[in-house]
Amino acid sequence: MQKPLNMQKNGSNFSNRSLESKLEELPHPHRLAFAASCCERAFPNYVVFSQQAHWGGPATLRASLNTVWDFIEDSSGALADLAELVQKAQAATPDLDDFSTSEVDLQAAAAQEAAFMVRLLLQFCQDNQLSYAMRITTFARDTIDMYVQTIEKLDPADPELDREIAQHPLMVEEIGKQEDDLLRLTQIKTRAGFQDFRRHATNPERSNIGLIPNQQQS
Amino acid sequence: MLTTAVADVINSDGTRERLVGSSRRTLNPAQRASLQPGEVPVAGPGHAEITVLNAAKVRGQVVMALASSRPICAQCRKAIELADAKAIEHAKERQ
Repeated sequence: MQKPLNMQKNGSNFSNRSLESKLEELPHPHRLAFAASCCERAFPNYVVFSQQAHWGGPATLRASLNTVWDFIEDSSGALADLAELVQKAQAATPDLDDFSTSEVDLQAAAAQEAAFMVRLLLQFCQDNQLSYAMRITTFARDTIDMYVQTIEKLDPADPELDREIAQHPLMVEEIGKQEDDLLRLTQIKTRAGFQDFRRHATNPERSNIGLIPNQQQS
Repeated sequence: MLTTAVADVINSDGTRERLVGSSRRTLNPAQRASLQPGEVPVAGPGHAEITVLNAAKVRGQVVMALASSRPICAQCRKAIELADAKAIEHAKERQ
């Protein structure tokens, strides 16, 4: 059962300030793990887009995510090839003007935001600024916001739009998972704990908008 | 990567509005939060310019002018011309 939601005017349904203050209390590897978990729930959106559009590089983003998880598990080690990973992720980010037909535009936007999230995550490895994590969570909510508006055929000018989106099961589920991740992370003290969290976070059953990639092609 | 288009439109009663659309299917929450009075978010597939043109058509509005955050492509330019609207060029393109 989800806790009552704290409604925000901008559509965010749990206070950014509350999330930020909770993340502030965590060390860098824990913050990274939180952000990486958000990215893992967005990554299947990229895979689905790539399968439908026959464009992109899911393996590139997967490699970036794996590198970050390895870094989280052993942050004493150097992060190799970060610049190269950022460059490859940039090249694998779709331009929405190239995928504007109604068959694929929704998936392209979700994939673009997943790629943005991974690029931010890579930068967050190198630069422990909380704003990276906050931007990653914003992109996660943006994707859900767009998807919910579209599948529920919501009126974009409806004054109640933000409230309706905040109460949608997909948004409630994502916020719940973020809160659950934060709780789990506060209890992690060892490398084994991070390994366990990684297993929990990677390969989610479905994406943050409920998409499931075709297993044969992924 | 992401284009935003705005169109100044006139309603059948002569009042004016500004439609705001994106190359994304919908505006994101930050874009919605920054809308000013008289600015109306619109949604739809296609380039941002086409989204606002389509929305104006559905709403029975006449498009006076349309501006985009990125250079306007040939197809969108033609659609703007067909709507008898003025395309406001990207600043860098004018130079």
